[in-house]
Parts: sequence; structure tokens; C-alpha cells
Amino acid sequence: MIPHPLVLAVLGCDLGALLLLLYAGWVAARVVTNWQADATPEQLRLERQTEAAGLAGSAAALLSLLGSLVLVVAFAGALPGLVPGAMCGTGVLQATGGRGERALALRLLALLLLGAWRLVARLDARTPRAPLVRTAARLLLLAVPVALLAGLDTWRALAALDVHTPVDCCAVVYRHAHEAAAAGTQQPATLRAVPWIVASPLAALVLGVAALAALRRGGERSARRTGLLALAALAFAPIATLALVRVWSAYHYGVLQHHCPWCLLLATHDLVGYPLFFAILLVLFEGPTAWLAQRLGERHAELAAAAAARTRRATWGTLIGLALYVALAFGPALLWRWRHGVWLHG
Amino acid sequence: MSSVLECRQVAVQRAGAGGAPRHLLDGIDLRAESGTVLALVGATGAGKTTLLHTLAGLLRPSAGEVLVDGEAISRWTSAHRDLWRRRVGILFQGAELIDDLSVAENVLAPLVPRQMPAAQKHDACADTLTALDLAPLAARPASDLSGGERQRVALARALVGAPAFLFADEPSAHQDDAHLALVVGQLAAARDRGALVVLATHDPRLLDAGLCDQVVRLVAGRRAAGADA
Amino acid sequence: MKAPLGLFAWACRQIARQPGTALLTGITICALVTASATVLLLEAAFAATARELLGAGPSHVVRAVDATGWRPLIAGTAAETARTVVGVTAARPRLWGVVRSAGGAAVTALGVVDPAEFATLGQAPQQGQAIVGPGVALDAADGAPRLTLVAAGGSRTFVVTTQLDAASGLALHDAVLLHADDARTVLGLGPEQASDLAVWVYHDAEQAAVAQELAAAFAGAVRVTTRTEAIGAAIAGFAREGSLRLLLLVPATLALCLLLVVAVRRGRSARRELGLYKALGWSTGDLVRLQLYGALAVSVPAVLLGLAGAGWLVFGPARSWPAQWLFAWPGRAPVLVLTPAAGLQVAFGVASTVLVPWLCATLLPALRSATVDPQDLLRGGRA
Repeated sequence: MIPHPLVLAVLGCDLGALLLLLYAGWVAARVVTNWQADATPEQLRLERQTEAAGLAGSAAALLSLLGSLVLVVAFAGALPGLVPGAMCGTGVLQATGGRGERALALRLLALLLLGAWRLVARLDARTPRAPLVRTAARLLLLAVPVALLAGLDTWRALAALDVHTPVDCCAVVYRHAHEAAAAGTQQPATLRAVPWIVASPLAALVLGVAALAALRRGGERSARRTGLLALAALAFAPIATLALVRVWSAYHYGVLQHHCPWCLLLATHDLVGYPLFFAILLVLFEGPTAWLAQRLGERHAELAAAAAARTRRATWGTLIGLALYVALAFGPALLWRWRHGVWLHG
Repeated sequence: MSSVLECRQVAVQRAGAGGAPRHLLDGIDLRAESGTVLALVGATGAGKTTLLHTLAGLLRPSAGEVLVDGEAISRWTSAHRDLWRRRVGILFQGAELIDDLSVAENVLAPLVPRQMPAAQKHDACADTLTALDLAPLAARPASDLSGGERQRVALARALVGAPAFLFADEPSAHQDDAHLALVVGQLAAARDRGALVVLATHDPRLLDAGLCDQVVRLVAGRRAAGADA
Repeated sequence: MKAPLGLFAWACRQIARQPGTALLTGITICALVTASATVLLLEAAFAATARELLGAGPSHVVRAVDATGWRPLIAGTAAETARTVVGVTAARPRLWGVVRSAGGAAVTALGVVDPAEFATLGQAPQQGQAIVGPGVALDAADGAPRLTLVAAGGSRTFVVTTQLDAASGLALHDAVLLHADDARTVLGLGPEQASDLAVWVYHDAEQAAVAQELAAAFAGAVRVTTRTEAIGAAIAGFAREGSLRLLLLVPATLALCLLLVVAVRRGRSARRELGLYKALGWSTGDLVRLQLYGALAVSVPAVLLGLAGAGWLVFGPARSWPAQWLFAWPGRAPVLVLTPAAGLQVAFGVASTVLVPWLCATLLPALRSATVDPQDLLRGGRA
């Protein structure tokens, strides 16, 4: 393993997060099996430990997030300089022998689960009788093994990183593009882009309408409105990601056929990938959060006020994510059209 | 806002010698409103301190409920009872000061985590020290104080946050008559400002000061029948 | 009345109650950061300097090879051949090689083919003269400064007209500039021969394509190195060297473990006091924050001080010391440059590798001790 500072930082963050999560997971397991609303010393101790586990879990989630961000920065900006032939994260991932992609996917899953746990735990902490304490503990127990696997895979990916054998960064991108073209039709690139050109603004429109509808207060249909928002957000995230890579990134690169998500994270492209992917992740997390908080508020009357506030915040979060994506993905395309009078895709 | 503190059939058990449960409190019922002073009296070991701590949310009863304005705080999680104690001032029997901190720092301790302007914290601390004749001692370490001074510093610490509920265990301990008047004055001031003051004491001077609106006598963890004032 | 009013001020007051422990912790963290940051900063600074230096150099270097290794090029023919390749804007033969001085140190002998190229250094050396870099040790002799080089056909002594100062940078640090004929003699080259050929192309993005064209244009076997490859090789070599030196972190990590034990012990001894805080209305979160602020109040200044110390060791007047000890750099160390991004990366990396474990080491006992209940205080029989 190369002792690059960012690599060490990722491993440091992961190690800290795992230690904290193991402690939190141990307490969560005891909550699931032993929680009793009585005055025994064991219960009092468990309540105190649950508080501490909540703080430990939050700190672990923060460290996981920080570690993931540092890992992405390392893959996108720092390690390409050490891997011969790598120009962006694609080349670095190639040098990890495919382990890097799985590590990133597992990290995302772990973060989403930890986010869901934190949502439930924070709502629960707002009420004096902790009605959701077992639910939160179960969610945490679900997140811990995923986080452990993510940490392990990250370690393996970084250990496998080969800085001696040259990689062909762009060849990977073009191979993917050619495979996609071969698997589909023999249509020209401009026509292949059409589904994404149509789907992504449509998904954005549906999401925007759903979010605005969810912002309307009260009413019997509020559950249905937040449900629609969650579904729209879940659909939007993959469509927006693929459309960004296949179509809208071209307006940042200035070339038509460079379908590389990692190059968007390079300084030469103004690091635009960071706010763009952040916007997609914000939508992916906040959309379902609005629905989940609303459901919890419905089921537990004592949580209603806190849940309603969180639902509203999540809806605004979704709208902000959507606005950011629209501005940074569609904006450059519109600017291009205005400047040059044509679209890149014809 | 007027508050009501109630106890309904409160019992506190501890494991005694040989593992058999020992009843520190058993079947206690009481009710007190804000703006009044309730005194808990009884012999040593009668359960005054245990009841005081149970009312203050430091102990959770084994049975029965402690209610504030109808809300059973004894069923709350420990975390919420911690937050509730921000509305509470507590004077422990043994003062429980931090010896290597100064008097002013000891008095300030409850205000440190609270979201309020620093000037307000400073003024509250200075005013309380002055009211209890402790201003000249503000910079001295707590370890240098006499027993009476320590008890007054602990009372100042309990009063500094202008609590809605004040629980004071032997507030007159080690006080000469001059300082007792100061202590009684501060307890009366807290009552007059609308706080519910609960005292645990066996000092007749305090009972004779005309401060108490209600006296509850405890005998072996139970409320003595027909003995209340 | 003088008292700490906020949580952070209160945490600082807590530190002041145990100044010895705080000082020891701060010194250990500072030493740990200084040691690791010095290695990493030196490595990053070298990489940045090499990148800047090679970035200003030719886009390709062509060297002739055979079964025994490198062999000289015929200067005129090679340059003509290179210029025939489309995209090449200039080709210039170079005379250089590593030779030993009489003292045994390795120096880089450079022949001045085009005096205009070295005009900024003053007058080009005449036959028998030399201009030397700041890292070159001269012969220990009275009178005019001299330098003896061990050449293929015997030793040759040159009169040193100028010794460049440290500001001349990494490129000329161990360089000995000689007249072209002297350089050929020292390097064992014939009159028409050159060490290699430096080539410049019109468009930098065409490096890879032009490299293949260049290789094909020469009749014999040649090795063409692009600028990108040269930068990568220089940085990777130094990084490998630096990585070994990171073994220095082992004792430092042991010291951090010791600090962890101290933090755990301190957490246990503070239980009674924390129970009192809980009784006074502090929450578990307040207590954890109090202990975290305390840890940060010690470690953040220590990390900053350590980073400043490392910066001073690498870029300050004492820079020779770490270069000699860590990388066995001969003589005085050159002046290095560092891009802000690389500097931030090192600072961030070191801060993370030290701060994160330290904060975790603090947080775990802090969480443990913050779970204290006021009942723990009461059961102690004090109240």
C-alpha cells in the first residue's frame, strides 16, 4: 500500500468510524434485546449507553462521510499522478483491479443506512419516552455490517492499488461507450443521447412538481404526496447520473464522446463534479427522508411536530439539490446553445 | 407560569444486605405548587434525601410516578431528565463542590452549557454571590472554605440559574444565625419569584422561620400519618 | 469576578487544572506531526519542484541504446532526423552525465553547447573552467577554487569561476558546467557525439503520438522519454524513498498509544465530577463536547506548531538537516518550491492521520465517561 497522506487519512477515518460503530452496534444489540421501560439499574445504564451510542454513531457517520469524501478526492485528484497512465479516477479505479468501484458502492450504501438511522434516532431523541429506540437500534445493526464491509473493501482496494503497471484511462471510458453502443442499436451518438435528453428534464420536472406539492401543509393526501416525492427522487437519481455522464458532461468537456464521470472532478473542469454529484446525492437522500419522517409522524403522535419539521426540511433539501443539478447540468448546455447556436448533440 | 409537582405512590427500592430489597421510600403521595415552600422532615435515614432526589429527577422510582404539570417525568429517558434538570436547582447535603475550582467557577458551572449571553451568565453569578455574602470569596478555591461557606456556595450554585424548582438538602447546615437569615432570605426570594422550593431539613430554626407552606414528615420511608403541618 | 463562561473556555480551564498532562500531550503530538510532515513535505516539495523544472524542459528526450545500455548519439545527424518528424519544432543535442569528483561525490557534468542557454548564469565557462552548483564540494586547496573530476582517461582539474548560490534551485544543485570540449573529455564522448537529444513539439497533447514517430524515424534503437514519463519517474522514485522514511512514524504511533492510555485513565478519574455536572443539568452531549473541546484545545495548536516546524525544517535555513538525515542528500539541500495545493494536501493528510486517531482516542473514553448518571455520584455516598 502506498503511504500517501490522503490514503492514510481515509484509513484513519475508517478505523475511527469502525471502532465507534462497533461500540454503537454493541449497544444497539442490547437495546433490541434488553430495553425495558423500568427503573432497574441495568435499564438506566442502557439508557445512558444508548445516548453515548447515539453520539458514537453520529461521529462514525461523520467520519465515514469525511473518509468517503477524502477517498473520492484521492481517486480523482491525487492518485492519478502516481498511477502511470491515469488521468482521472477511472484510471485509478482500474489500478485497484475493480475493487475500488465496489468499495465506493458499499460506502454509499453504508452512508445511506447511517443517514436513515440518524433520522430515526434524532426524531426519537426529541421525545421523552423514546418510542423509536428499538427501530433506530435495528437500523444501526443493519448499517454496521455494511460499513464494516465498506471499510474492508476500501482497505483491499487501496492495498491492491498498483502504481507500477501503466493503465489506459481513456481506453476504459471509450470501451464502455463502444460496448454500450454495440449492445444497443447502431444509431449515431446523437440519436443514442435522445432518451437521456428527454428523460432527465422530465425526471427533474416530475421531482420539482412532487416537491412543491409536498410543501403544501396538512391534508389527507400528505402521505401520498411525500410518497410520490420519494419515488420521484429515487427515479431521478439514476436518470440524472446517467444523463449527466452520457449527455450533459459533454458541455463541460467540450467534446461529444467522453463519457467519464471522474473527469468532472478534475480541476481542469472547475471541479464541477463535486457540486453535481452532491446535488444528486442530496436528492437521493432527502426525497425518501421526507416520506419516512412523514410516516413516522403519522404513526407516533408525540413525534408529529418534529417529523413535520423534518419532512419540510427534507423537501426543501430535495428542491435545493434539484436546483443545483439543473443549474450545473442543464445550464452549460443552454449556454452552449446560446453562444454557438447549435446543440452538441445536433 | 404556575407548575404543580406531584408524587403518586412513589416507592424506591435498593438491594440490601443479602440481596433482599430494601425500601427507601414506600407509597409516598404529595402535591406542591409553584410559589410555595415544602419541607421534608424526619429523622436521619427517614428517606428525606432520597425523596428529594427522586423529585429532582436524579433517581427514578421503582414504582409510582413523579408528575410535573401532569407529565410523568419519572418515565422519561435519562437524557430528557438531564435536560429537565436545567429548570431545577439542587443543593446537595454535602455541598459537592469541585475543590480545585474557585468559588465563582463552582457557582457558574450549571450555566456553562446553556445558550445565553455571556454577560447574563456573568451578572447572574455576581448577583447570587453578593446575595449570599460570597463576593469577597469569589476567587478563592473551594477547598479553602469552611463548612458553612461551602454550603452557601452550593446554594448559590443551585440558585444561579433562577430555577423553577429548587431542591435544597439541609440548606442551613453549619450556618450561624446571621448567615441563616441570608439563606432564608434567598429561599424566600426564590419562592416569591414563583419557584417551588422543596427543603429536606431537621433544623428547627428553618422550620421556625415561617418560610414553609407545607411540611411533610417521613418515618422509615413512609409519610407519617396526620403529622404534617 | 473572573470565570470561564462558555463550554470551550470551561474546557480550557479543565486543561489548566492538569497542565503537566496537557503539555506532555501537546509536545508528543507536535513531535509526531513534525516528524511525519517533514518527510511528506520534503517529498511533496521535491515533486512540485521536479514538476516545475521538467515542465520547463524538453517534451521528449531521445537516447540511443544497444544491448549494453545507453550509447552516445551522433549529434548533427540525430538532430536532423528528429526535425523531420511532423510536430517537432526544435531538437538540440545535449552533453551531460554523472561523474565523480575527487572527493568521491557524484556530480552532474553539463557541457555548454549553446552559451545563450546559460546566459543568465553569467559568462559561459572557457576551456579549463567550471561553473558549479551550490551543492558541489570543491577541492580543499589554497588559492583559486578548483574542482577535480575523475574522467574516463584520468582526473582533470578545473578552475571554478563561479559557485552558484542556493537560490539557483534544484536543477543546478549538483551541476558542473564545463566547456563543451571539456565535457566530452570528462564524459568520454567523441567530437561529434552527444549524450542525448532534447526535442520540443508544437502541441503538448501530442507527446505520446510524437514519441512513436520519433522512435520510428531513427535507424538504430532509441529510447524516447516523454516529459510526462520523466516527471512520473522522478516523483515515483522520491516517493518510494520517502515511504521508507515513514517508518519514523512507528515510534510516534507508539507515543500516540501512550496518549490514548492517558486519555482513558483521565476519563475514568473524572467520573464523579461528570456525575455532578449531569446533576447540574449538563447533557451527555455537553460532556462529550467538553472533552472534545479539551482535546482540540491541546491538539490543534500542537498540530499547527508541528506543521510550522516541518515547514521551517524543509524550507527554512535549517533545510539541509532533514534532507541529509532523511534522504542522505549530499551537501547543502537545494531550495525547493511547493504549490499551495500540495502543501494543503500534506497538511490535511498529516492533520488527519494524527488528529483523527487522537480525537477517536479521546472520544471513546469521553463517551464512556459521559454515560455517567447522577446516581453514580449519589451512590458514592457523598450526597
